Amino acid sequence: MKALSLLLLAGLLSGCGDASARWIDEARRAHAEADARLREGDPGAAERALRRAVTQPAPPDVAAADRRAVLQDAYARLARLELVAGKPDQALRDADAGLELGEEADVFAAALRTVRGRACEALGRDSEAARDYEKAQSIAGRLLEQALGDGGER
Amino acid sequence: MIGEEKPPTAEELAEAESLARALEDGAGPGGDTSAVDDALAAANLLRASARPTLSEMRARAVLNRAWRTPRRSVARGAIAAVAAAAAAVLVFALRPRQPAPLPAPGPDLLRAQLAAARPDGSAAMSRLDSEMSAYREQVFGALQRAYGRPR
Repeated sequence: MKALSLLLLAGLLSGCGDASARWIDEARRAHAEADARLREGDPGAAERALRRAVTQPAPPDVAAADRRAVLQDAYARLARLELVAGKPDQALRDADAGLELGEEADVFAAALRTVRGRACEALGRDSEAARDYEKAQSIAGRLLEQALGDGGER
Repeated sequence: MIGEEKPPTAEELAEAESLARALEDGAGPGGDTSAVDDALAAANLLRASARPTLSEMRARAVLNRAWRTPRRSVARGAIAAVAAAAAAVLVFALRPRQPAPLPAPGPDLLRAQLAAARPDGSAAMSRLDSEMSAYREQVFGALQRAYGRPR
């Protein structure tokens, strides 16, 4: 009986591996759908596709760093869509939701800081915007140095 | 077996005499008890050979019991093997997953990001969008290599 329970649990857990692959695949599809809707001139549908992606709970076996990368990228894109749609307050909320997941010195955090700065600027919060730009510049500058130092393009 | 019709041999008589002597003398401390031990062993052998054989039902019960023991141990072995396999799968499934190795962002993306993160950089945002779109494809490719494709 114990062996059967262990087997059942093991089966369930091995199913988690497929759930994480599915979660990642759905996020990718959401971006592809957003691209298609934007080409069709329907930013509202693009926003809905991305909104679905960020509300899907990530399976527990997705590494925290990977989960953060996928969600921050989607939030940055959502914030950008809201900004273009003339909704800087919603753009700010999306950028903050992305940054709440953690702020590492990577392109995803830099993108969120950039779009947050734009939202703050649109809302007349200039000093806050300046701080966001500064953080984004600092991250991107450091990454560019690394990329060039590692033999990247000059 | 001792035949009653034959007269005892000289050897048997000597043994009987030695047994009688041993019983009369008693097996005191340090006394030689080997003759008594031999006689008792012989008596036990005679008694055992005179016992009736196992009845058929008793023999079957003994056989059944003898067969059941190895069968149970085979079943236990199988359960243990299944449990060990399940435990191995659990250990594998519960191990903390390492983050996927994501590609490093290229200089073009980083330059676009630097340009967009300027107070006057709103025009550079669309270039950042397209650079991020290309990088996103690389990121999802790396994630799918690490996590596999859904079945």
